Amino acid sequence: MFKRIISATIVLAIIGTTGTVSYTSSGKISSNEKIAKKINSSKIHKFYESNIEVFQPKDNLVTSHKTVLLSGKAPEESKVVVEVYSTPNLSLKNLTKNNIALNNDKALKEFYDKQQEFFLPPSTKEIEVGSFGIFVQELELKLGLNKINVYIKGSEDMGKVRFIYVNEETNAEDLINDIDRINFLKVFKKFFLESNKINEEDTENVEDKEDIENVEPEDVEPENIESIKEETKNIEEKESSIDTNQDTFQND
Amino acid sequence: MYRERVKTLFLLILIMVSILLANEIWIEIPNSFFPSFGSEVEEENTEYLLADIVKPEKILYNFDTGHTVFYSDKEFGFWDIGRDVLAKTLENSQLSVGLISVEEYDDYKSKTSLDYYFPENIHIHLLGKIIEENIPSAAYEKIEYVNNVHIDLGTSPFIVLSDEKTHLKISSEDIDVRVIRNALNNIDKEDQTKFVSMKTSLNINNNEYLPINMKYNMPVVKVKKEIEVKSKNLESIVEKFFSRNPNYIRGYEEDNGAKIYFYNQQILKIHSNGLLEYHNSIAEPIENRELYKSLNTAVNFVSNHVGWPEGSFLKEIEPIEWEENKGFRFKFTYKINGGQVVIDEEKSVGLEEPIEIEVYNNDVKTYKRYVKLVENVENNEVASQESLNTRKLSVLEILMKKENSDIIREKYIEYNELDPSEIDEEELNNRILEAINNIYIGYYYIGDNSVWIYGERLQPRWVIDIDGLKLSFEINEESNKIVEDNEKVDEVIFK
Repeated sequence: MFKRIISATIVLAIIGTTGTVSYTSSGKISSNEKIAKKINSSKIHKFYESNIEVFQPKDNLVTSHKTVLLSGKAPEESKVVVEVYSTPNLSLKNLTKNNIALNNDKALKEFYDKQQEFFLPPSTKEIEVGSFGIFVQELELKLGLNKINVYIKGSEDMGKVRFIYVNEETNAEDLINDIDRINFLKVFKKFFLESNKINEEDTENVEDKEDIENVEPEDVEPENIESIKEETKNIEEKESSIDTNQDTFQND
Repeated sequence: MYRERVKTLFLLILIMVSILLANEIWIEIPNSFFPSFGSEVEEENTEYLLADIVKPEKILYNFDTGHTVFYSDKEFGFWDIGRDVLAKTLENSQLSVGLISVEEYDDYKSKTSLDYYFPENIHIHLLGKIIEENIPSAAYEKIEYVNNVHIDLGTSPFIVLSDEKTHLKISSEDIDVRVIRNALNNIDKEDQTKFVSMKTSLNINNNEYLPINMKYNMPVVKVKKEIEVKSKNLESIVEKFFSRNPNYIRGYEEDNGAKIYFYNQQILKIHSNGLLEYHNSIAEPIENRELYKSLNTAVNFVSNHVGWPEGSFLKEIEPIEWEENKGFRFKFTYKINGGQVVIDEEKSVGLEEPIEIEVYNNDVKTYKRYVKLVENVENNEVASQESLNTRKLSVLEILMKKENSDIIREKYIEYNELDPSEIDEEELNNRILEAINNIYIGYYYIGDNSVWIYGERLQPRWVIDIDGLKLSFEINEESNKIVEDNEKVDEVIFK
């Protein structure tokens, strides 16, 4: 009897002491706080709080696309203000109508400076810069000269400025890429017919409208295929000359 | 006397028949006695399958106003078309082949083109086998492994084969890319998820592209186990492994529901959670590992033993050694709608990818498989309703959230064993952004508590691979957290 009691108590003791011990995991949250504190206290004061960098778009960009990507870096958790200024409907089309050659540097510069006088009140957007200090935003531009002013809220004087010229959309480049060599004639006929169709619409109305969605190609009335070829060559040359003339658009 | 002869003859026939039948049961005639039978046919099969399995993980489309990535190639078949273009180009005898600089290569990325990214470095001869065309010596002398194929779609198209540091440009007269261009013309660029180059847009020394919006259709999907331990089709699977009726194979059932079968040196185990494990012995010491032979064996074996789930592809090649033998471990996964199925390491299934196979040239030593198949679409209605009302996040938006960036920094420090006191936060941010070497969408198994209510489901997440550290983030906004422990899962599901 006595032996039974002893053995029973021993068994109970063993069961009692080998129960599972529970514990809470405290590691994750506190180590996070520790790291945050260490990083915050060290070198962050060195960081210039109003420092903003804009990588895209490049300054004095000439493009045929109305949406442009704005991207850059700014301090984490800051607010970035983007102002987009545009000019009312002054476009390169006027230039060609007045028969100013596009590779006349002086005329181009004059035209460019003139456009700057006509900036409309800007459309403003606020971007919240999150962690990692990067921001990316698509911006809508109008035809003609646009100015983008990007700065950190509160530090307007330390912002960055970019000038972008939105040209009319010419489909020549696309067409040339898509040319099906067998149907060469077909493609040019199409181009010719499209440009003629749009010519019939009142071109004066176009200047009054603010948003030009379907931009017409240059006013062309080619007589035969050879002149069509010449026209596309000219358009190519114009496009390449615009690219090389970027330098002339620099501000003083 | 006549009767005696008939009896003897009859007896002889009976004995021969019984010997033949006994053969069936007790002795296996080794295949080496019939070497040519069926092997030619087999090779054709595997070449077709090899090109289906070794394929790009994602396809980057560069165009005038930006970039987008196709994670799923089901709709347009760009890889099939690209393979054709590659093959026809290399057929040409007049090729000009030359190395180009990194700057020139980066410049090409802003022109209209397609980039095919492979998840693993593909040896150039293997690439030749996949496109079914011989690689000219001018090419394989200069580049040994390829992980990116760039096809330019401008007025004079060309091809660039790259690995991490080398870029080889292949051009010839008249590379015909019209089929690709036509297929691309049918795509509305505005409808696609927009990607930006981290190098050009954010000045980060990195060749990756970052999604800045999210337009992929990635619903939560209901899935079911491919192999049910209790089902009747288990017998047909067992039969495929041992090529005989399961009734003749020794097997038993474990307490946890798993079933194990033995035959010769082969062991087949099927767990109750649907995991299939197969082990076999290998023939002799194998001192030289051969990639093409091993890969062929692997692809062939998997096709004949349960088969490939739709959208399967080779994810990783790992050289392995066992005792004195050298072989490969091939890891495969499969895609649902463009999202790769990922096995959470915490799920102790013992696999990094759904299908893993260890091969030593002609012999398969280990084969493991944990595949979940998408159930019928009607059942997915409930699951897709949930995702309709939530906003979908891009990777840019995910990185911008403070809670996510804190976790990323913490895990990066932990993974690389850095000393937090010695790091400047800005420097750490830059380091992390530079180290991002892959971004894709993965389908993850949702934690166990919800299984009783909704059944088994897979949830899509953005996966960011930071130099080996893979972190996943939920795509739907209201539940955007890293799912770390079951507590958080409860919050997420039962909102």
